[in-house]
Amino acid sequence: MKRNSTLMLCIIASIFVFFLLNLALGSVHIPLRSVWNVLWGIGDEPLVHQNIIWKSRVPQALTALVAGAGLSISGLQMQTVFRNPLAGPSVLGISSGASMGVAFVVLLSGAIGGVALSRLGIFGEIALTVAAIIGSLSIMAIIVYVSQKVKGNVTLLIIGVMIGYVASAVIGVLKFFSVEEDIRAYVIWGLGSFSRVSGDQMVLFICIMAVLIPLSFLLIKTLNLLLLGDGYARNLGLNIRRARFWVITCSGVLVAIVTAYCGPIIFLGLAVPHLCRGIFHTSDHRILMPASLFVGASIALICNLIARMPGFEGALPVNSVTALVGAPVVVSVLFNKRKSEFNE
Amino acid sequence: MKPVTIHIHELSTGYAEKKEPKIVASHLCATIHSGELTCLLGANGVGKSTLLRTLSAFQLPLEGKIEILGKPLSGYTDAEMAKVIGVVLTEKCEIRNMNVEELVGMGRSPYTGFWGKLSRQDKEIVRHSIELVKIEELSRRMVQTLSDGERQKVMIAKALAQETPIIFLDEPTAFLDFPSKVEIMQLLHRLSRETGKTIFMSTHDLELALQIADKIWLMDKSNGLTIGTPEDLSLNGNLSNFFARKGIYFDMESGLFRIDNEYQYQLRLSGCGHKYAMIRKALQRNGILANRHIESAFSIETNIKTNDFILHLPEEASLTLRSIEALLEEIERRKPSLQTYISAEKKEKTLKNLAELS
Repeated sequence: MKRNSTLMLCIIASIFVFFLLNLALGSVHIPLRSVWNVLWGIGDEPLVHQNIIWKSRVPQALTALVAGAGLSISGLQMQTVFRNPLAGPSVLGISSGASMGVAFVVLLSGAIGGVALSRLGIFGEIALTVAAIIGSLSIMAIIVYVSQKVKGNVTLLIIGVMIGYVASAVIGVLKFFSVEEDIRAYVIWGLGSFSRVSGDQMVLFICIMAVLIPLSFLLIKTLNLLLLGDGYARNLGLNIRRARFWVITCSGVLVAIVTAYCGPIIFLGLAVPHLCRGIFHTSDHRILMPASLFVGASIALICNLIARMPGFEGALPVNSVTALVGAPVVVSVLFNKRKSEFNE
Repeated sequence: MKPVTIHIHELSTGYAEKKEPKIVASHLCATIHSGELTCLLGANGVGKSTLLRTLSAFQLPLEGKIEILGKPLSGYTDAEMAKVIGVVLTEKCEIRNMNVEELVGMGRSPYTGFWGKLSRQDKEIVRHSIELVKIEELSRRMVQTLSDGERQKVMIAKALAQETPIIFLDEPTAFLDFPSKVEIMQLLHRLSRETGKTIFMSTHDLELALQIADKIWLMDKSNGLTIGTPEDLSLNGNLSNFFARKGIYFDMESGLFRIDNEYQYQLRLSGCGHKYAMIRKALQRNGILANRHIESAFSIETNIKTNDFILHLPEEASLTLRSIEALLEEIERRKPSLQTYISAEKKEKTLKNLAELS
């Protein structure tokens, strides 16, 4: 227990460190001391620095933090409810749903209105967010409906993947009929970014997530029971159907919101839960949930930092970074786990 | 008479499908009293698991009624059910990164609060359950590092921690090696005596079941359920009828089943005790019936003093052999001559003798 709390504190500390680094590093280097001063409003730092920090870096870092936490929790829930280590937020096609919604708006608006949505500014942004949420929630509704009808987890998983394919196919068709400019706008959205959210929207995003993430913690006992498998969970008094409904809904809404604001961020949701299990050697969601939250936030900040490293100049998409950083980490954790199992 | 814990009447189990229900077994009537260990026996596909699933409220009965502790099964909520029936299933629990103590602790879930945190009392019960199953030394081990037998014991401990008056086990001894099977069976027998819980299990381990069960339920496609103590069932011939197939015969003397090897030859075997039985068994496996009631020119004698086996031959000096293996080799070599010494008439006679004896 001692070990766990120490680890947890280290991870929380790392969030603070990476958060500050996120504010300090970038194409314009701002010394940590000035970052500190700007944050607390002391001293008189140059206005440029204040603007960069408050208008660009703080929203970006906060978005990364919250998105990372949300995706990781969602991934953890998916892996538990499907009892499948490969499950993740994107696997049920919920993020494809978001992409489909966005594709409809971006690609059709060009065709119908004659104006590419990317030129519409703030309205375009809101439209994209709304479209993504509608798209992902409608796919989620289908999945939840199906989850109440079919029994096996694998069946449900396959149906989810199939729905994802259908969504991708629809996107493909839409792309085929669109002008190049719109496709480019869509592709850029699809790369994922923590910097797209700004100002009021950021506040809204963080508020929504601040409500949803604690709500997902209410499912901890349910998730622990689901670990035992349907039969045992049921025998211990769990209503499997209801449990599935809530877990998938919770996980799905988290992904939907994050995807709507940041685009489809891959890999974090899949990798972080594995990382946490490796670090804490447990399957207990009372530890894994907060662990996923903190580790997810921390890793998202690291990824954002790398994506913005001097030299890349913000050109590197977050998705490439998450996979590049995440894959080796997961593999190494899995290797270590094997070893420790044999030693026991 | 002990109180009734489970009562089923005219029960039909199966699956309610759209067009017509698929009935697996019907018209089942039975009663289980508290503190009894009951074994459900039957061939694959006869509906043992379906019956267990129906009794544990995993699926609805198609017809008839089930009463648990005097109250209809449908009258229980999920949460109440969890405190009445504990199950151990065939499905292997694929949990990683959870130690035995935590897993047994999951059995307390029906009693714990919103976050599932174990109170001191819960922990005490978990410890006690682990003690009852005698797996204290495993309690810190991760579940994925356990053998199948150990894992099964952990799941039994989980069911005990659940503190239910009834425990259902679906083939708890499947996939286990023989010593583990015996161990699990003995464990269940001991638990039924020590804790007074009603234990109901399905199994294919006939011999073990006959030795530990208070009651046997024989499940059959045509007759439904036949219920009784193992001894009653063997006396009234139900057991032997039930398993009567080519190659299996019921040994009335021990009340257990034997594989019935067909034999081509017969030999006289004299001697007594363990050695006699072992030679008889070895020969039986090799298609030779040997016992002290047979008359033959060839004969085997066990020498009690020297631990040797003596093979008496009709036209040669007797051979002394050190092991059964050597004896078998010797007999194998002489099989052609063996044949000539056995007349068909004699064979018939001994068969008649045998029939009278048994």
